[in-house]
Order: sequence, then structure tokens, then C-alpha cells
Amino acid sequence: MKTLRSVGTMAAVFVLAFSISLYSFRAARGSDHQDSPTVVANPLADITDVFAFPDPHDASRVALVMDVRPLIPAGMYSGIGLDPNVLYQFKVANTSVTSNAIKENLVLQFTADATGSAQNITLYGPAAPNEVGTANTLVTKTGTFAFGKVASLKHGIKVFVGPRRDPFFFDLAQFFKIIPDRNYMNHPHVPPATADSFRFASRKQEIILNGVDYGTAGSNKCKIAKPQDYLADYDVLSIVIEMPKSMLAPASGSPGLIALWATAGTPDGHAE
Amino acid sequence: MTTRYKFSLLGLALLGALIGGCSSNAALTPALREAAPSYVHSSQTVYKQIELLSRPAVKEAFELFKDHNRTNRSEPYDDPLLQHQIKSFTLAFRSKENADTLQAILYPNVMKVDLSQDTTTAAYLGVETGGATGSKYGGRALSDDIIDISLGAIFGNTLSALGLIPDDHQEAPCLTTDNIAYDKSNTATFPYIQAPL
Repeated sequence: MKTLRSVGTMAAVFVLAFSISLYSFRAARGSDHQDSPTVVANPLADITDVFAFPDPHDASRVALVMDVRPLIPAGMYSGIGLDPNVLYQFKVANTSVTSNAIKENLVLQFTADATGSAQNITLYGPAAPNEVGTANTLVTKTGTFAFGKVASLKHGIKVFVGPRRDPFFFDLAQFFKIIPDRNYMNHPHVPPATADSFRFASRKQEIILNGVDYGTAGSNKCKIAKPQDYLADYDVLSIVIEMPKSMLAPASGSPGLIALWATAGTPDGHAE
Repeated sequence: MTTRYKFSLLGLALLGALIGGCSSNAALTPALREAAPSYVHSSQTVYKQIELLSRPAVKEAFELFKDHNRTNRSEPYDDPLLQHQIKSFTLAFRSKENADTLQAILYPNVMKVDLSQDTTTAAYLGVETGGATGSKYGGRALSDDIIDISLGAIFGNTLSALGLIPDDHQEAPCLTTDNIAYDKSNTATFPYIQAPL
């Protein structure tokens, strides 16, 4: 029994060390994956992507998506939930967007009540923010729902927070060879670029952009190698909300042009 | 054989729990997790922004890594550093018209969505390009190739093809696509994104 336990402890220590190294020593990857030291320190506050699209079956509804927690290896999402220290927000400006005089006048906020995936998520808003700017407090609560399950809340709001396959796709390893500065692993001593081209599967590949033929990859001396989607084998945590688009309309107006962004914040402004 | 299989399953389960745990202070086992204290979110708590994202890959393409942390803590409409670097990065290899136009399109650093459009099709930069990317709705669909759209605008002829500026004939054809196409499986129903692997 004692032997078994010590074997178990050793295995746990080994696995812990391995899993830390798995996160720490992989190159940064993504459209916004691991893009500053603060978010590298807390991947649960690292927003990797934002999407906004209509319900494919109902143009009167709009879905907003924020992905966080980059690089969960395939099959390894069990036990990973949102960080209860973090406030996740979509911010929306729905007036003066055409003139670029943008200020948020609606927020949709999410918090978690515990660590791990056995957590409940609370949605606050959409509502006018208590503060315009980067320091925020909670607006009116709309509803609470379980992590990992689709839920319907009042006012026709649907929500889901849970693991999904990372929808982002990019040959990021090659990008970092072209612009080494953007890989956090390369700091503070950034090496010179080792590539000036993305990877092309064949010399014969035609490069046609907006109707203009730029010749073949070979004739342009592009790098000939198999391109690779470095997000292909990873999951993320997705925060998804869908609602009637009238909920994002200006007060007493119809839905129009909006500006959207997503933020993560913590009580002390550190990664936690 | 069976025992070894069980052990490797156990190892996988442990690894999954620990990967979550090492980054989030999550408890290591279900039993411990249930015992974790609940967090009470007070209306008095002030949350300070540490991360920002709107249009994808803008920081990554244009802004020096050392400045990302500042942009991540800024409002997207109050970020002169990013605004400046969109232009200065582009000026290194494109015409002034290219650099000015990219700066005007990409700053303020927000995603524009035209909810007045009666459509079920989103298209990244659709608002900014009058629908040239596929729909005036704008926003961003899961399958939008935002990397190739961005690379085309930065290194290719996208802006001149749209008639926004004259062609500066300084395209870099090897940089206008990363040659990765979307091949993930969205679902037709909420929450739309492919189930985890």
C-alpha cells in the first residue's frame, strides 16, 4: 500500500513536471494566443479569438464568441474551467461607430464561481457599463448556468461555456520564423529571422491574389514545404452567447453598426 | 496487458487534471475540486483589464511584442502606440498610401459588425471593405480565413484591387497566404464550434 502510494506520488510529480513543461516550452501559437507575459502567466485570462456572426438559421439573432485558454492538448480538457478571479467581458459600442468616436455603451460579463470544470457561470448584462474604461464592476445579473452545458436564459439568450476544438487555423510556426519578435519564447534576446516566406506545398502552386497572377511558388522562390495548422490538435475554452440582435441596438433604436471587443480583467490587474 | 492499459488510462486522466491544475490552481482530483471554496463576486470588486482582443492578429502582425502588454491594458480607441505601429510596420516595405489606409481601416482596434444587415453570413472586414470580403455584415465567421485576408492586405494587392489606393508594385507573393485552409467541423446548431478533440 505504501509502495503503491509513493509510486503514485512520483507519477503525479512526473506528470506535473511534464504538463508544466508542455505549457511553458511550446512556442506561442495563434491569432492572439500567448501574446503578452501577463497572459502567458495565466492562460485562463488569455483570449485567443473573438467571433461575431448571425445564427445561421435566424438573421434576427447574433452570436458572440470569445475563446480562452490556448493549447489544451487533444483529450486533455477534463477539469479545466474558467478562472473565478477573472472577469470576462464583451464590450460593445452601438453609437457613433461610423465616425469612429467609439466608446462602449453595452457590456456582457461572465464570471465563474469555483476553480475547475465543476463550476457555475454567471452572465451579467447586456447592460450599460457602470464605468467606461479599463476598470470595471459588475452590472445586473441575468442568469447562472453550469459549465459545459448549453443553457437558455431569459430574454431569448442562449449561452455555452466549455471546451471546444480551437477553431483558429494558422501556420504559426512559420510566421515566427518570419517575425521572431512575436514569439514570447524568443525574449529578451530575439534571434534574426530564419525565413522570408510562408510554406507552399509545391513549386507549381500558382499565387493568384484578387485576380492578379503572381506566378508560381517556385518562380517566386517561396519556401517549398508542407504547411501546417499548428492549432489543429488543440482545444480551447469557448464562451458563446447568442441573443436577439435587438438587445445590442441603441436605446429606442433598431440594430445597426456596432464595434465589439473582448477583455479579461482581474481585481489587482495582475495575472493572478 | 489489461492492467497496463488501465494504468495508461489513469495516467491520461492525471495528466488532464494536472494540465488544468498547473495553470489555474484547479484542485487535482474531483473530490478536492468539490471542496474548493466558492468565489463570491461582489458588486464592489473592481476588475482591471489585463487582456484585450478584437480584430484578430492585428497586435501580432503590426505591434512589437514588448508593447502588447500595454495594448492589452488599453481601450481599443485609446491606444496611440498600436495606431502608430500599424503605420510604421507597414512603411518598412509598402507605400505611404498602403500604410495610411491600413492604419485608417484597423484603428480604432475594434471588430465592426453591421447588425442592420438581414443576412446569415458574416465576413471579416466586411464593414470596412463595403462587403468585398463576402458580406456587409462584417464580424467574423468561424471559417473566415482572417490570416489570408490580413496577409493579402499587408503584403498583397488587396487595397489596390479594392480601388482604395494605387498599386505600389511592392507585393511580396510568398507572404500573401499561409496556405492553411479551414477544415474544422462546425455544427449547424448552437454553440456552433466543433466539439473538443
